Amino acid sequence: MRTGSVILFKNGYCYQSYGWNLFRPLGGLQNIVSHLDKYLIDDITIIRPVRDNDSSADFLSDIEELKKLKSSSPISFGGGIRNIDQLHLLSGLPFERFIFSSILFNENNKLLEVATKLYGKQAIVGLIPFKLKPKLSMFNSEINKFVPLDKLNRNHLDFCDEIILYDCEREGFHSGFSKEIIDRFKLDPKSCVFSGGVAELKNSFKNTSYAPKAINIENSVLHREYSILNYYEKL
Amino acid sequence: MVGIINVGVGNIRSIKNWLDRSIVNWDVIDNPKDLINYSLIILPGVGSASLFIDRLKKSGFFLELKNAHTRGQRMLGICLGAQVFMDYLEEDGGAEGLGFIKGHVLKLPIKNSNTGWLPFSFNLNDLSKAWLQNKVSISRKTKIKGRVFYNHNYGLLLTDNNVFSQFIDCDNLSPFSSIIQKKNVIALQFHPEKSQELGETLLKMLL
Repeated sequence: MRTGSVILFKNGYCYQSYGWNLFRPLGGLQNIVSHLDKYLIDDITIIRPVRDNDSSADFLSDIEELKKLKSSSPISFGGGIRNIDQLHLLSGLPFERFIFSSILFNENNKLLEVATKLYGKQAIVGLIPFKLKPKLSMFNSEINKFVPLDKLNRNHLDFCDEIILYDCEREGFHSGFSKEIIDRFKLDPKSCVFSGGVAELKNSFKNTSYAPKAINIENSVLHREYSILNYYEKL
Repeated sequence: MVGIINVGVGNIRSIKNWLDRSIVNWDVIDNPKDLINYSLIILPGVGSASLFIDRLKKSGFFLELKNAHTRGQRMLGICLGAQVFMDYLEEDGGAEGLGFIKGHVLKLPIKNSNTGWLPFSFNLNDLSKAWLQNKVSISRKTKIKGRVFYNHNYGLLLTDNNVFSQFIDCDNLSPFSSIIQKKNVIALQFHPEKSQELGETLLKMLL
């Protein structure tokens, strides 16, 4: 099971997010990635936490910043990849895999088809932000709303090599990932990456039927109490 | 000088960063006729096989790589770049490879991709003279042991027993190679550029 880290990155800065709506600045991307490289992290997930107000200019600006990134660790990137022109821009990035979220709620699968053609199936990762309360719902960033489970186009999941299940309610906290999502969603955990509230050993899921392919710890390298180093020490 | 082939797909920037970290001079090769100028040619690869081979053929690199191989120039293929060195690639309905190494590239017998870290150890002296005699000595290290990062759905299946090969260190993937060396060609299924410290050490050893 891989142990990775999530970095939220937008407009040139990284953020720590709590409960999917409170953003606390963490600093520059290169500094954080360099820390994670030193930890010998298994992989890094960089997500632009954009909603319905994302613009082409903002996307382009972040891509230019990401091109400068230097890292010796595997990196996945996503957030706001919503059209084919944007897909082509990704080939200039030093990343192996790309993350798609709002397209999973669309009827049309053209974007995923082209992405698979350009980068290979092993490079396609789905992201499903979810919350269980008051009832199970998924976040569609393109319309900036939580929507019912049946709005998700499950056929699109076949394009994804892995699916990140992102617990919005536990995001930024060190424990409590809602593993019941696996039962409710009827997904194979071996294809999933758990993210949100998994920074404690009791949430490592190792040797359980819920053991995922990987876990992501929210990037908190500047905050000792939730740090990845702390997680490793407990293992 | 190391040359990185650019056909518009493939993870060029990661390769540049990898070479920079190891303080190795590099150029990006956009014109296939320039291949002759380089002591080591790197063929990176992230993407789907059909698109990558199509771009290699349309740009003229496919033919010029064969010429460079005949001249005995050293080549290093990474992931999809390594798969193109084989005879045949199964992905996307099948495609002819460069045929530098006898064997096929076949779908891995697992549901999802092989994405993650697996153990890897390597002894430089196991390589043949064809590679070692042209080596630049920027490291005296000959043995490494650690882990490397894989991200692939298809694997290298050798049909030639007379080449240096190590298999992927994982039970259900053990028929597939992680590294192959035949004369002036090395194929790496894993991503050395994203394999942290081991990747950098390996580069210095192979140069």
